[in-house]
This record gives sequence, structure tokens and C-alpha cells, in this order.
Amino acid sequence: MLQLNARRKTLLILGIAFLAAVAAALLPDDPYQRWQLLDGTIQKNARWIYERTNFDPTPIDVAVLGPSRSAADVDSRKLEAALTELGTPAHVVNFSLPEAGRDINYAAARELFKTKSPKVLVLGVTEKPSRFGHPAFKYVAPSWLVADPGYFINLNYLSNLIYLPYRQMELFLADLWPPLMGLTKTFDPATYRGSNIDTTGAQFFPNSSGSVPASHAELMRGVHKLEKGMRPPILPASLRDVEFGDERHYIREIAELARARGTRLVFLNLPFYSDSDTIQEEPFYQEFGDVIDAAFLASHPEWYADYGHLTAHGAGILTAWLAPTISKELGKAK
Amino acid sequence: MLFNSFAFIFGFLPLTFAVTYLLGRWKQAAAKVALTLMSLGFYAWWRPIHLPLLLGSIVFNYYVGAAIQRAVAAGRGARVNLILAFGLAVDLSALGWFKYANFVADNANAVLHTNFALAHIALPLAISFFTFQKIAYLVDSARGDTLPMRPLDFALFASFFPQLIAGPITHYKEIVPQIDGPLFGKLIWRNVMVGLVIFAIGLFKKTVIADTLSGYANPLFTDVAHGKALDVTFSWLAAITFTLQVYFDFSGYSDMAIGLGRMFGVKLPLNFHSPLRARSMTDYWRRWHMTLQRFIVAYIYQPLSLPLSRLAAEHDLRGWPSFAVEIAIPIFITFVLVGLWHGAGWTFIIFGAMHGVYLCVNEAWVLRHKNRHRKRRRQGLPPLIEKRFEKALYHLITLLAIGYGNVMFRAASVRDAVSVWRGSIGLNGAYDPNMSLQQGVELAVVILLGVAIVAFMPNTQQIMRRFVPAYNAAEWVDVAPAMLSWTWAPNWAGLLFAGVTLFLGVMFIQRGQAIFLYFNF
Repeated sequence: MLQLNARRKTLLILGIAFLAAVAAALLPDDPYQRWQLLDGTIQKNARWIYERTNFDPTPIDVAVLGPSRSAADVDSRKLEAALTELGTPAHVVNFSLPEAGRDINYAAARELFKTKSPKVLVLGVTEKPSRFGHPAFKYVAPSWLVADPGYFINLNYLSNLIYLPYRQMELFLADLWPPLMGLTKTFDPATYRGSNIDTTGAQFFPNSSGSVPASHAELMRGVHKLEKGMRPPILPASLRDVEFGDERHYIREIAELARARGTRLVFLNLPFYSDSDTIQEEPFYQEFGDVIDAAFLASHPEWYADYGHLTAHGAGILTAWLAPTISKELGKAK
Repeated sequence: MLFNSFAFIFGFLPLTFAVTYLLGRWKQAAAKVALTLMSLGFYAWWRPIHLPLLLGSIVFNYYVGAAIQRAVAAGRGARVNLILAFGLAVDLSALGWFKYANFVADNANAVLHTNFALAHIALPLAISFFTFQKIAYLVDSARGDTLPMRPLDFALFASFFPQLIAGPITHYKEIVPQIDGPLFGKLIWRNVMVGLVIFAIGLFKKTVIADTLSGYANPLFTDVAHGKALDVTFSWLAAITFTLQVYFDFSGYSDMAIGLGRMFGVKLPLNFHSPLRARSMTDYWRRWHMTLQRFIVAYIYQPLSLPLSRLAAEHDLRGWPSFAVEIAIPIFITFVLVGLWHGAGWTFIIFGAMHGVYLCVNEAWVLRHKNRHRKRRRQGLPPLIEKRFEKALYHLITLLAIGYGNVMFRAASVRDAVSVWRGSIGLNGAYDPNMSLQQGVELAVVILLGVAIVAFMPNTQQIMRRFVPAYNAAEWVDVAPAMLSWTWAPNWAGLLFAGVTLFLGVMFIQRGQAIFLYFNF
């Protein structure tokens, strides 16, 4: 019997719980199973991103990464066809995922650059970046990256970190007995969705066809809600790296990966309907590549399926407008 | 705020703990103020708009209680009854309005073919629990079982966050002497340690076991609500998984409440004592939601039963007619009211009626046995001894009755419950070929594990018996001992158990914070 007082015993219980959490967080996992954790959610393309980069030998020449707007607005299949027509044939993928947060783009970029050497990387940006990381980052990022995101004041840090032990226990069990968690360890070509999937229209709006423009009233309702939630920078410009740590840190990291592979970086701004704001981080983005602003979209309600996302038709127009720029970038690429 | 949330575990709880005990070092009253305010904040977190209702209830019942106490002290019985009736009328009216007005209006419209429109009334969180606590306080005051107290003590008694939302339903005599005692507000680490272990066990029951079971039970009941007829296997799975879920959910919640109370130096009364190990319905209700059961016995059953007993005596009723008037009628009415207390819906009323019938049958069986024993004694025969087979049969019948009742309790409509019942006797087919082997294995493991814990493991108060874990633990710890006996001790094995249980309980919150089933009441 230990001769400890109740205070020390209480602290020991808490300490054991903490150590158990640390031990669980250190359990190994299968990254393929990790990228399946978002199956059945709006982030379901996460599995395809992993399969496309790790199991499909088809090269990737142009990759699009970004938030929901770049998923709904850039039609990778049409872009591929347009680039062929322009004499710069290329394999295109759109790895954008719904919701904001640059960390998940970095997680996808790591997979991309591990196995492929894209010539052009298009990063979707918006008028103001999120101060938070992506809510699904904690599901797909490797443990070390969750534990050490590499920058100061990550507003999602605690919620990401506390998820880690549970995730690793789940993945550990899935590694030992895949059917238990419904996560496979073996790539099945029969269920693979292909080298280039559509992320626009009905694919983006599963509850509608994604082809019907929203009414003006609906658009304005969405716009008001969005504008209400927007907050201008709180901290002085010198502290932007702190306030917008997620955006700035991971843009630098992605740019570094791109630089190492000789990939050209392009920033594509996708405005919401009636948006007349400047791109808050434009000077920062320009340090790494050109910024293309699709501002012309904002005055066309007939192209928007909701306040910020284009219909399939709108995506076709944006993609056709984007193709010559990407073609030029491909021409410049080594 | 849910006990099984990060906001509570890593935010509210440490903050309340620190504020209460830091201020308690200075002044006990300051600790009470802090704990009361934090408790009100805990309530408001959910839906701040209903905080005035809780505050109003506290203020109203404090003054009505004080008026009753003055009348009792002055020996003015009629005045006591008048004030008590007024207080109960107001409390019950508030409960009736918020909980039942829509139900009454809907049914009146259906019966009378009218279109009486009532704006949808949102059910204030925990109104059934805090109203019952106040009713108990007023009745206890009228019985002379309470003493005048300061508003602060009453406010803390009435809002103490561990028991505010879903019980245990506490009485004055259990709580007030503790919060009025000299040790309240003083940091006693023994209490913290014991409370933490009990909280960890409760959290584990909720997040690891109950929420796992809900993952099986909910889709089945949702399928039924969408018109699917479950076959015999899935009907039984629905009944069994939900019965285990509701047990682990509510007993887990009660453990957490008791653990939290203990961390703040207050021993709350027990609410569960292995009810699924009961061998009769009477025994089951003694051990299921114990504080509600004693409330209904003291404040509903007895007031109904006493005049009916007098009536039976006046009419010289004997045998079964006497049983019907003295026992069956008050039991049935009481349990219909218990059903209605759980919710304004026909499923709850039928659930209550079913349990009323179960208990009547149980009491009739007991009476028949007593008569047989008496007869044998008169004949000079030895008393009948229950065989092991009989005991097992009683247990099985009790579990079946509970299971069927719980289907009605859980189903979205009476039609859905009847559909599951039909499925359970094979009227919807014998086997669903869509069930995969993996599903079958998973379900078997979950059910076997749950049943093993219920049948063989000691309950929380038995595990923690060395530390008198609850207000009335001493009365219960030796009742229904488990097949496997284990008592927690603060040695390495005990600390490891507590730490790992706490870790798993917290980690499984990640699956999603499922609301406690009894938060709906």
C-alpha cells in the first residue's frame, strides 16, 4: 500500500490519465486509414486525395488547393480539356476541401509533393483568411504535425491536440483489425473514383443539382451573414503572423514544398457575390507567386448557387477564364 | 452545459473548484456565493432565457417555505395547509404550463375537433427535477422537517450544479446540514480524490458504454420511425441495447453528479443500485431512479393510499377487493403520473401504465405467496423455499417486463413501440439477411460486455464503499452484492484504474457529446 496523502493521490490519478493520453497519442497508424476518417462527411474527398497521390501513377501537372470556393468554382476536368485546347496538355486535380483553414491544404500538399511533381499549384484565397485552422485537420494530419503545428497561437491547438489520443487509439485498432472501424488498409482500384474528379455543381451541393442560381434575396441573405461574421484585423500589421498564423505559416510551408520541387505558385482569389473588398493578404501572397483576382464574378448573380459558391455553369465560366493564365504558367514551368 | 463536455471538464469544473476553494479559505459565505453563482451560470449556459424561471422558483419557494415554517412554529395547521396548497399550486402550474400545455392543447384539439392554437412553449431545462425538489422542500417544511435558513443557503441548496439538471432529487435534511457545516468550503483532498474517482467511473459509463450502445439503439428506433418493420433479432437488439443504454446513461450521470458533489464536500443520495439485478418489479423500482421513487412514494403514493385504505376499512373490504382499492389503484395512478412526469406524450403515459400494471401484478403475486405461506403454516407444513430455477425465472420475467416497457419509453410513437413488440415475437419475420457477420459479432460483444458489467460487476457505491461515497450509501452497499467483488483502494492498482478510467471517459467524448437521456425531462 502506498503511503501517500489524498492530495498526492488525486494528482497521481490526473497524472496517470495524462500519461495514458500521451501514450495513446504515440500509437502508430496507417496514413491511408487516417485519410478515410472523413468518409461520409462533406470532406469525403480526403480519401480520394490520398488515393490519387499515393496509389494512382498518373502524374499531376496542375493542382488546385483551397477552401470550399475553390472546390465549387474550379472545374478540374474542364480545365484539363481547356489546357489541351490551348496546347499545354496537363493532368489537373482539384484537392480543395470545404470550409476554411490553410492547415488542411498543407496536409494535402505534403501528400502531393511526396509522390508527384506538379508544375503549377493554384491556391484558392478569399478576401480575408480564417484565423482558425481547418476543423478537419485533426483527422488527417500526422500526429507530429498536430502536436507541433510550427507556429505560435494556433487557436485550434487544444481541440486538435485533445483529439489525438482518441484518433490514434481508433487508428491503432483499425490497423490491427480494419473491419472493426470500417477503415481499409488495401487500396481497391474497383472503388477508386478516378484520376480527375468533378468537385463542382451537384458534387459540391449534394442536396441540389448545383445548377440553379440562387435568388437575389437568398444571395443577399448569405452575403449579410458572411459580412456580419467578418472581423477586420485586431492586431497591428506587424503581428499579422500571430493573428493569421494558420494562413501565413502554412502558405510559407506550402511555398517551401513548391520551391523544392520547382513548382510555380499561383493565388486565385474567388470573391463572394457583390464582394468589393480588397484581398487582405495580397501583399503577403505576392511574395510567393502571382495573385489572380476573379473579381468579375462578383457582379453576376446568375452565376452563384449561393452567396459564395458558383453554379456548375458559373464554374465553367471561371474555369474558361482561368485556363489561359494556367497555360502561361505551365509554359513558364521548367 | 453537459458534464461530458470539454467545456465542463477543462473549463467550468476547474474554474468553479478554484474559485470556491480560494474564496472558502477566506470566508465560507464567499465560497457559497461563488458556488451559487457558478451553478446559475452552469444552468444559464444551456439556454439563458430560462434562468429567470429558475431564479423565480428559488425566490418563490424560499419565501413560501419560510411562511410555512413560521406557521408550523406557531402551530397553525390550517394556515400551513393553505400556504402549502398555494405553493404547490404555483409550482405545479409552472411545471404544467411549460411541460404539458402543448400536449393538452394538441389532444383537446384532436378530441374536440377544434383549432385551439398555443404558441410552442420551449421546455425549460430540468424543470421537472428542480420543481420536484422544491415541492419536496415545501412538503418537508409543512411536516416540520426543515428549519429556517438564510437565502444564500437556500439558493445554493436549490441550484447546486451537480444535482440541478437531472437529480438526484434531494431533500433539505440531506443537503442543508452539509452546506451549513463548518467544513463546507474547506478544501479536503480526500473528498476531491473520492469525488474524482466516482466522476471518472460515471463518465466512463456514459461516454464509453452508453454512447456506444446508443450507436446501435438509435438507428434501429430511427428505422422503425421511418416505417421499417424490425425482425425478431433486431427487435430484441433494439430493446436490449436501449435498456442497457438508458441504464448506463442515467446511472453514469448520477455517478458524475455524486462525484462532483463530493468534490465540493457534499454527499448526494444514491440514485441507482444495480436495478437490472432486481428479481421483481418492486425491487427494480427501489433501485432505479431511487430519489424519484422515494419522492413518488412519499408525496404521491402514500397520500393516495391512506384515504383509500380508510375507505376499504369503512366498507369492510377484504381479499382481492381490498387489494384493488388499497394497493392496485394508488399504484396504477402513481405510475401513470410517473410516466407523465417523464414527458408529455402518450408513449410516456403508457410506459407509466405498464409499470403500474407490472407492480400490481407483482404485489398480487407477493400477496398470493404470503397467503400460501400462511396456509402452509396453519397446516404445519414447512415454508416454501425458492429454487434457483425460480429465482432465475423471476429475474428473467423482470428483465423482459423492463425491456418491453423501455421500448415504449424510447419509441417515437405508440405505433413504433407496437411495431417493435410485434417484431420481438416474430410477427415481422425471423431474421434479417442484411445483418453482416461483423455487425453480429460487434453487437454480441457490446451486449455481452454490458450484461457482464450489470450482472457480475460491483456498482459504483460498492466499488467505493471504503469511502462512504454517498449520503445513504451505508444502507445500500451490502444489498445485491456482485458476483465479482472489488473495492477501490488508493494503491497503485486503484490509482491506475482511476487514471485509465478517467482517460477513457474523457477521450470517448470525442465521439460526439451525446446529451444525457434524462436531460429531456
